[in-house]
Amino acid sequence: MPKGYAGKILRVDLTSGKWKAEELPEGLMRDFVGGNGFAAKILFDELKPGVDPLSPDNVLIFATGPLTGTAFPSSGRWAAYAKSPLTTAVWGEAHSGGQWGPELKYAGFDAIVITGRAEKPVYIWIEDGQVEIRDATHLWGKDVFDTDEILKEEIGDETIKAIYIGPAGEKLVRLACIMDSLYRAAGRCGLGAVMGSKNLKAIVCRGSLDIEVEKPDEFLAVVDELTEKMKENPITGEGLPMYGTDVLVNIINAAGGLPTFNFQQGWHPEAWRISGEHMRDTILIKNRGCRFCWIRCARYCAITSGPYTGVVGEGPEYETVWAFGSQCGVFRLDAIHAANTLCNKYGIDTISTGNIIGWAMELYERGILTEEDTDGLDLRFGNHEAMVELVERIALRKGKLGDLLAEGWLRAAEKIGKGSERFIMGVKGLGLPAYSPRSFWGHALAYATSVRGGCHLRAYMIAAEVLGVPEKLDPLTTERKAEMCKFFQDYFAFVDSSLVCKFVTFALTPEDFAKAMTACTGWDWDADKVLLTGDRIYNLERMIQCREGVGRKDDTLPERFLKEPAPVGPAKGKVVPLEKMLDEYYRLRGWDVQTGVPLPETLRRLGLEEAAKVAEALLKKS
Amino acid sequence: MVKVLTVDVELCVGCERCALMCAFNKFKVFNPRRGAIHVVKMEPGIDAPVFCTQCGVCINVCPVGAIYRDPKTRVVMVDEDRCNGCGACVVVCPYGAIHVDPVTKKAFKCTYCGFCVKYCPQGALKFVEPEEALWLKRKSMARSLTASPTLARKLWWRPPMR
Repeated sequence: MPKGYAGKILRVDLTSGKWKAEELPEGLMRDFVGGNGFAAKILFDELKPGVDPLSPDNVLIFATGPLTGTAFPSSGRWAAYAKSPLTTAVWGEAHSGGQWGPELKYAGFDAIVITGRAEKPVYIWIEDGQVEIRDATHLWGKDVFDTDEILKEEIGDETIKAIYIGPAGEKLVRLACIMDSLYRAAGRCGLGAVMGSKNLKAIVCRGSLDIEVEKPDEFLAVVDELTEKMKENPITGEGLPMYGTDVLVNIINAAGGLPTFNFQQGWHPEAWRISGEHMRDTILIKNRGCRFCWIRCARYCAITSGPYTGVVGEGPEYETVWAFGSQCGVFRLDAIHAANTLCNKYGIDTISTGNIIGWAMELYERGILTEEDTDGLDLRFGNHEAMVELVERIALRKGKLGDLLAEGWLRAAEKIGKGSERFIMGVKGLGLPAYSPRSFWGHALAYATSVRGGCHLRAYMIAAEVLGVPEKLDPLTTERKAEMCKFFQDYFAFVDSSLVCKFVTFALTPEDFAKAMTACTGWDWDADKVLLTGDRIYNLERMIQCREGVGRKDDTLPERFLKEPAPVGPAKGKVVPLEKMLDEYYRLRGWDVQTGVPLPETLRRLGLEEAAKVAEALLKKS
Repeated sequence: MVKVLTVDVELCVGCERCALMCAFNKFKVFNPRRGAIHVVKMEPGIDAPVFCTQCGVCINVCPVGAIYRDPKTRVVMVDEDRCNGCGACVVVCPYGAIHVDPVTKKAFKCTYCGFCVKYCPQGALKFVEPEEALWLKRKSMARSLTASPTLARKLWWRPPMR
């Protein structure tokens, strides 16, 4: 077996309460690396198409990768996967930093596959290869902060690392996330609700087992070289450590791409009030780093005056600042930090929650929602008190509106009617994050084609269109966008499988990953193989959604970006010419241009024989 | 020239890279729990590395005479050939800075090798001449005597550029 892995997958069936440790098959490691790769393979083989995401039949996976928990810069990551209860994308995926990912490996497992449903609330305890399923009745109903405290006290060890769901996950709020310790979250796709549906409150690890690499000295030399590169890089060496991810507010606002008032415009004169620079000048106490991070972008902030005095904790990140900031027309950091902290406390995704509140605000201003529908909340843009209150109502399913929005955009729009679905700023049922598509056309393509729905992290085209990584592209042309989008999707699929933080890619190239992987596993890796492996993984993820009917018809954007010209900013007057980019993208990917289904020969070239057979059947049907 | 390891605790962000690299330097594996430097994370917002101050309390309690002060560097060392892993040193150490390694069964502590310093992204750990460390040592002492978690939230300061 190659080194870099703990070498085992833990399988837990919560219905029977049984667990077993399986050896990692070598082929799985070689072809699918870890993280996303493992999850794609396991879900493709084991997830039955058509299952209800909140039923015991859904397969919930937690995974790390070969670089997780090593000296590779920013290696403290983990990810969760399942069929999403929120989106129509099927493939549900959410990543988190924090403490837990490496600890899972030190405790003896690269991944956990969870099926079934426990009869009553339980948590899973893992220590050095041993597993127990323990009663969690006394934790049910407790918020994330309290759960953390109670668990540490009753186990009698403050150094345990754990992931939790809060009340939102328990109540099957479809925006619920999974929290790592207090402040880091695997946010998107509603996977907290999947955990809640399985009656699983927490997974707690304590590990003291070694993770080895094949060539330690060579690996160290590679780490030194890569760390140097990250120090030299202005984004990873200066921007992110200095201002955190919120450094982006001023940059993206200047580019006209900071979505404001539910994406109605992409620029606002007051954006500086929520910028990373202003945060540093006002509420920042210190920065923090996830485990083994070289970048340390986390912000530890405290509010010491005004109505939100006493709000203390990590965050908010750029996406959160946008979600509870310009998206809702709230240009004050104290309210944003309060909303963010409530999300952490109740275990609910900040991007989704802010996006959906912004949507509700637009509906309210347009008269589609009335004060009666909002249980008396005056949901005008900029009403920070209503916004913070609504976070709590959604997370706890309190009141008519809270309960309605807890179901996510699509289900809520079905109930509201009155054309409310036209104002949903999402793709495949997942709310878009903090970049306006009309200002970044490549990013628009990334949104439309992202395998988990409206998401900026399958292909972070902002890197190319704004930050000039790996090269600067004009954001308002379609030139080379499909090519760059494919490159990022493949590269990121690999990064998400070796499972380290994506922020390192501002400084590191596929060559760098190949070098580290070679020293880590002892197998020969090169840049082409890194991208080919990413391509394989991305295609398999795509097939998981295609076999449940997802295709080109779903790879689209809200009408607003295709028909309404942008009102202000550098992109004024522009709409996204999506279809043209899509045609080019499918051709480049080797997918059927009409349906968006990967062609069987593409899948065979990547060694995905089973998937190729499924694709053949799908294409024959259409 | 003798150098000492010291820390500017206000700069620590709790990333634990020091512990990870310390264990790697000694054992060629990744396992931060086996490091001789330990990062303590507490809420609200407290992060600090803990390591041996070379006070030498452990020297006299070692029943086999495996712990000694290096006459040149003044650093407290463990003679691994003699150490039998009894853990007497662990009993007396006031800082929790020495432990018996679970694999080698030998006592393991920081010997001021300075390897971790290069891997501290914040420059919080410093490997400097004893005179230069004086102020940081005094500051640490003052903080440990006065700073409670409730105070910490009022400590307003900003991280440096690098």
